[in-house]
Amino acid sequence: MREPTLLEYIILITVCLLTAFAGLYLLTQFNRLFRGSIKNELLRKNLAAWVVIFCFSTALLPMSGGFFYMLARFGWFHSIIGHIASTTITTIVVYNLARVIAESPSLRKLSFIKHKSLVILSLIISTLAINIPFFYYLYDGKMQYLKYAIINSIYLAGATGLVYAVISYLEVERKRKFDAKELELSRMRESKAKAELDALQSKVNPHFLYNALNSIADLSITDGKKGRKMTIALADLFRYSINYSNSNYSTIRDEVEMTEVYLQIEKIRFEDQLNYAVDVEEDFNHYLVPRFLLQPLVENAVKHGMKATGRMTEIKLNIRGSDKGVVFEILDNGPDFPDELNPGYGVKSVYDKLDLLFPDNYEIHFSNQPQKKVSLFIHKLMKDESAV
Amino acid sequence: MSQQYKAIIIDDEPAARRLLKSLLLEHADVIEVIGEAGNGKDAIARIEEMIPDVIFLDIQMPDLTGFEVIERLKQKPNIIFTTAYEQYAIKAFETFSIDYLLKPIKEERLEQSIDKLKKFGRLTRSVDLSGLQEVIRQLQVPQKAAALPIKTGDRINLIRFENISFLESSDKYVYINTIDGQKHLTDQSLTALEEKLPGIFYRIQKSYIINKDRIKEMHRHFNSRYLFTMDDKANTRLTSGRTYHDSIKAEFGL
Repeated sequence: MREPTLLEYIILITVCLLTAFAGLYLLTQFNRLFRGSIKNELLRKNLAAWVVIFCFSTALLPMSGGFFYMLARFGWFHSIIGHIASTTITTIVVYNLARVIAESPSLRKLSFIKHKSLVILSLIISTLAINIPFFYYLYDGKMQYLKYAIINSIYLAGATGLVYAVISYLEVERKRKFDAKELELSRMRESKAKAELDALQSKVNPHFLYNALNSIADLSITDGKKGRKMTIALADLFRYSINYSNSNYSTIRDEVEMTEVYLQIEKIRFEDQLNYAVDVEEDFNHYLVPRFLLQPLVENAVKHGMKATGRMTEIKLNIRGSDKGVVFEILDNGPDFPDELNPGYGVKSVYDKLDLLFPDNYEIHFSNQPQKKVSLFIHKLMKDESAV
Repeated sequence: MSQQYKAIIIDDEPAARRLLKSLLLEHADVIEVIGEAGNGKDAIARIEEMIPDVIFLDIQMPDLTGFEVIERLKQKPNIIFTTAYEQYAIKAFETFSIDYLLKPIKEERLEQSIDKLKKFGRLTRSVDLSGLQEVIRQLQVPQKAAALPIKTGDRINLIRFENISFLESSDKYVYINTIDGQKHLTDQSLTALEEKLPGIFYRIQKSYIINKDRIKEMHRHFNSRYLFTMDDKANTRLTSGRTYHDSIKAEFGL
């Protein structure tokens, strides 16, 4: 048997390194290989395993010592056929065995190291089980070559198993990091939900309260009757906002009543600069809406209406049925809504409440034509079961 | 005999004006109320016409705020703000020694301001405009925008930032995609919108801006790109632009 030339050695080493790298790369991409072309998972994985094993075993061919022997004995064509055949057998037996072990739910309960060791061990044993008879046949039972078969198998199977273990480890680590992040995110969402719930515990705007009290300070001397009326109205509004029942919902009737109390106070505060009208279709009285839904919208309308100075501010609240469910319309005669509308705290709290209690079940439109108004549609209403 | 100061009271509530006027009657030797105004525009006209020495100025008025009134005055008199702001918000006034009265107004507190006027002949050394601006800034922090107004026909829809998953430009329009899968069309440009949106919005491509709070997953993709999966109804997947690679890397600490 002739010794290979230097050039042949260089070519051989290059080819081996290239196939080794190709095998490593394909192994890291294992789960993605042939994803587009083959639907059947078992077939796809087996084919991928075949390609990987082919690359590795090709890379390790010179190590077995039998390569040149095989070439000399069978010639190129038969050597390659033999190589492909052994790869195929190895794939079918070794890969599928390892796969069963790697994916068995009961074995997965083992610790990471135990589980991966078991996979590596099964790879080595099954590779040995295939390669020893193969070499035995190849060398006509000459036992002195058996050591090559053993070293080669351990090397091939062990290296593949180790790469697999490292990839799994990285995957587990990545997942753990991702889970940690996810956990943090869900905690953040929870605290956000809490903030939203706080939004439900609505308060009367403190500005409004202090301004009203300031007015009462004057009315107590200048107009006792008005002062008394305002004090009582303020007490009613405050009691409603404290929400002893601790319910997030309120009937439309209660909401309208409180809105009227609020408007009464504003009317006293602004002494005849404000007029209001409320028109509610009675059928809706007993339906439930988020508590303190209407007052912020009406307060917003009052603010908008008062922007136009030197004339009477007119506020209207209409509640009626429409093809999109019930509609709450709040009209004012102030200047148009600007295109760059920036909702204040009150309007934001309305969105918060609806998002939380009536998600995907409402719409709010701000329109300037034909009338300036805010329209709140609630598509599906809940009836108050406690009151009949 | 000390000087007498001419004053104008500005407040949108008649009762509040009346209250202040009656309280000031007790100090008629120092302050003479020469006029009043019920809104910002009237206030400016009165002040320019009557040239008072001091004004009692309500901050929250429907047409203009007290601050806006001052900005529009050519000559600024002594100012005492009257406000129903919460105590914590009022800190800013003290920091910049700007005179103010909290509502409901206390007689003792009013007396203090008048004593100061008597003693020094003026209140704070003119109006420190930069200080005032700082006060305005601090008082207006909670007024940050929370939603994007989108005009469709005669209607303005408010789309809350937290409900936006991503914005996508195509041709002359931008689609605003919400987490529940709705699409809102606007003719504003993506760049103009980018300026209006708060910091949680981030541009990952020439035609995409995403809500960082709504990213479900992000993966490295081929060719210096990243693949973002959004936490919306359709789990939309968006690919970042190649030129945005470095800034995305920096932004997300990758």
